[in-house]
Amino acid sequence: MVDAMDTRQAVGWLHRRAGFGLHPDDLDAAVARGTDAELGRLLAPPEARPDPWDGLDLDPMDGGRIEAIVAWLARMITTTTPYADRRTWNLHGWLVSSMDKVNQPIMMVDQIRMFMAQGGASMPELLRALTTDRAMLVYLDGRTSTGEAPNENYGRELLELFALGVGNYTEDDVLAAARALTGWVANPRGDESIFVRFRHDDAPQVLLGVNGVHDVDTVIDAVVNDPAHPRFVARRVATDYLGDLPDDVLPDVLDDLASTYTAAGMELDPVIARALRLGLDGATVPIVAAPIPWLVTCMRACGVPFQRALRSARNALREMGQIPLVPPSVAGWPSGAEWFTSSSLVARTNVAAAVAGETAAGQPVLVAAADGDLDRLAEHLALPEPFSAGTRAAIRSAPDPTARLALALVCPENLLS
Amino acid sequence: MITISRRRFLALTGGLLATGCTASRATKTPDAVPGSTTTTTSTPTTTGVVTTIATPPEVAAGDRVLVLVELRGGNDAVNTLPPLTGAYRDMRPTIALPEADVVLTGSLPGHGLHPSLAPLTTFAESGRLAALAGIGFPDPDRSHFVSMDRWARADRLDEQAGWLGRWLDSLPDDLTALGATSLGSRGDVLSGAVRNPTVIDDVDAFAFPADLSNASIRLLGDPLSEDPLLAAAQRAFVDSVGAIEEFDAIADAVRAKAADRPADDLGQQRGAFSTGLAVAAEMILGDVGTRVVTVSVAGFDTHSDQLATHADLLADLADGLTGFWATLDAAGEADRVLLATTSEFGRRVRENASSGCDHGAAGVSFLMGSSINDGLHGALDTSNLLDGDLQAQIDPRVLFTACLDWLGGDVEQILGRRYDDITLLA
Repeated sequence: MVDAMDTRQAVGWLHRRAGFGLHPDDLDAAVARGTDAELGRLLAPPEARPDPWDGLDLDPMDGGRIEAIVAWLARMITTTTPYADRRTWNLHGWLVSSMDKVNQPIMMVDQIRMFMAQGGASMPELLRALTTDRAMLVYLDGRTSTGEAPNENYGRELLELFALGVGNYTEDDVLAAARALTGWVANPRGDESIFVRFRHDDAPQVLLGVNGVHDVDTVIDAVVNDPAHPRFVARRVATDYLGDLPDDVLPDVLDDLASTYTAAGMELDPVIARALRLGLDGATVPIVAAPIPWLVTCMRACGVPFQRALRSARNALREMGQIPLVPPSVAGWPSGAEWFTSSSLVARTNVAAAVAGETAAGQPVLVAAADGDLDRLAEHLALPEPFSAGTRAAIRSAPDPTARLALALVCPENLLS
Repeated sequence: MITISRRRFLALTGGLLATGCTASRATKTPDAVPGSTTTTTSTPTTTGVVTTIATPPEVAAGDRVLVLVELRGGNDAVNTLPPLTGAYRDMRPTIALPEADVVLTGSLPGHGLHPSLAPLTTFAESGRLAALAGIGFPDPDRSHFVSMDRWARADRLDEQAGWLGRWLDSLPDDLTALGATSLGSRGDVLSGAVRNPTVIDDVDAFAFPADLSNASIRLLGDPLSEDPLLAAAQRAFVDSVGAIEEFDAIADAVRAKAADRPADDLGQQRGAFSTGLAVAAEMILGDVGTRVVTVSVAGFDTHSDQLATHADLLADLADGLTGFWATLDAAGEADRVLLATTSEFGRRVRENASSGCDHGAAGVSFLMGSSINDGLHGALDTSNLLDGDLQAQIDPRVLFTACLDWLGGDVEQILGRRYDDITLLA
């Protein structure tokens, strides 16, 4: 929980949490506009945006997997619609598929496009679309699930990880969902999913106490109308935007967000907007910035364009432990202090040095580093507080402005959001 | 300027990475020689436990090493250790192993081995391999994440720390930075409340940039913040510096072992078991104070098209294990080492329509070493299934008890009580 934030802290918090940070010049402009105006701007319906993958050949045999990843990263770095792009990123870590199993980049890209197009709107609609999404049909085996022998993979994770959470369903529910969702296959040649009637088990199932469940619509209806669902969504939004809140405030925040969700007809954007308001009012704790949001935030703050360099960044991403489109498991990525492994921190330090090395001489962050104005440098990075004594000593011990900037980018304060 | 690391970042696509890396490392000198490497050879204080187990007297508990190999995703027990009788074949019309392919060994009665595991017969027949068939907790849970948690924390979900993390926390002195190391992803089993393992994902990338001195990075950690997350990051930086300084002593040998493993187009290394186990062997031989290593490899969640995937994973595992023991045998150090495999659950006996099988319950673990009660413990009994799953015959804590005894740990304190209805250490 934080004390009252001043305008600079509040605007910095908004952009680090709900976007990907800002260039110092843009941050100063945002502070001048004031907190409420900036929140309104951030949440305003986005302008039409170009598709990040437009015109790319995503052939997996010809570097298509890397192309798909880099194009999305480049979009995040250059985004003019940070709220929507951050929401898309968060959804990717929640409703998980991975290119590791979905070998066709185009299928993963189409899934992300779906998150971009409808991620803030109706959650039931999104879950319906996800259930027959081609990448998901491959990733969690819906495409090979038949009435004869249903595959439980998607049915289980829909209940456990996407919509309800452990403890809110039984093994019978898993099987019922699996049976009712049989028959959908991904068309490898077209860009759609196909329902194959003879592979489907249309017998009425009992799912979560609801009778007559037999297809996608009735499964999703039963799931989203389960009493555990609004709170599950509330918890997910709270974790992503407010952090792991302490027990004395968490129940109230979850109640608030869950009732917002229900009142808003199960749309996601109103819940996130409500969470951000609660956060600005103090219901927030520090969050560990995962490698990708951290990297994107660093590059935006340093004004590094990087489209070209990112093309060859894949090993750095892997070493940090986060490759977009390739989450390690259906539960997504680690969170919190789990990111502070030696392996990941060493990789982040190397990446910070690379980003600092790409930063042009006139950039505000590098000017502040050269001047030794560490308070200004912390401000440019939208940090809520000045650097700690340890970080100041470390930065001052570095031999040149670039090395100083590298340490500022990777210091513990800048690893939190 | 940070020229070398920048070049490295820009040149990450291919062979240039290794070159750039090596160059940056060659110019680097540690700030200090770590002075803590001697702690591991000290005699453990828990002598009461040590005397209750019979291990070769020439290996003191403080010199013993435990290697835990994690098969993440839920390894299919019945295709790993196919039962020779029962309904196995009837329930798996497409993914049962052909009878002619199953590898038979007299030391695993009633069961065979997956053909990819054929190299393990040598160990089975020389008394260095035990199979724990039907290992699993009572009241199994088919969720990956619940089950992984139960294995990591030895079913004490009120404890945040993993069971080996509790052992780390219980030690009177810090180990060396490489004393507890996770290769691959972070092993929750090794995470303590106070102490944490060093995680090394890619040995080639385990070095700080050339122009940021270890001394500078160490400064980030002092004084320690009161914010728990900031403090965690600070400690991790300081620990990483220590780990890298220790790692430098064995880096050349380790990297040589890992060098010939190609990566795919996303930079994921092929042969994760064989690479990880080769690195583990070098660490054990390298006199860097290593006591516990985990090697974690994902990919066992074979809901579909299981046969080829599973065969490749097990072949890599067998390759890794064979190389690991060959390295230790050649150095005469094998008696110091106990190795166990784990997986969060076995898989459903009946196959699904996707030429795979869904999450199940009891599974199989292997235990390897020169001081074990070898051969078959338990059985994969397909005649007595519960909801289509193998029923547990061996509590995983039986395995954990043996592992903790091996390390000289306080089993009662760490697991709540001893689980020694089967004595696994000879």
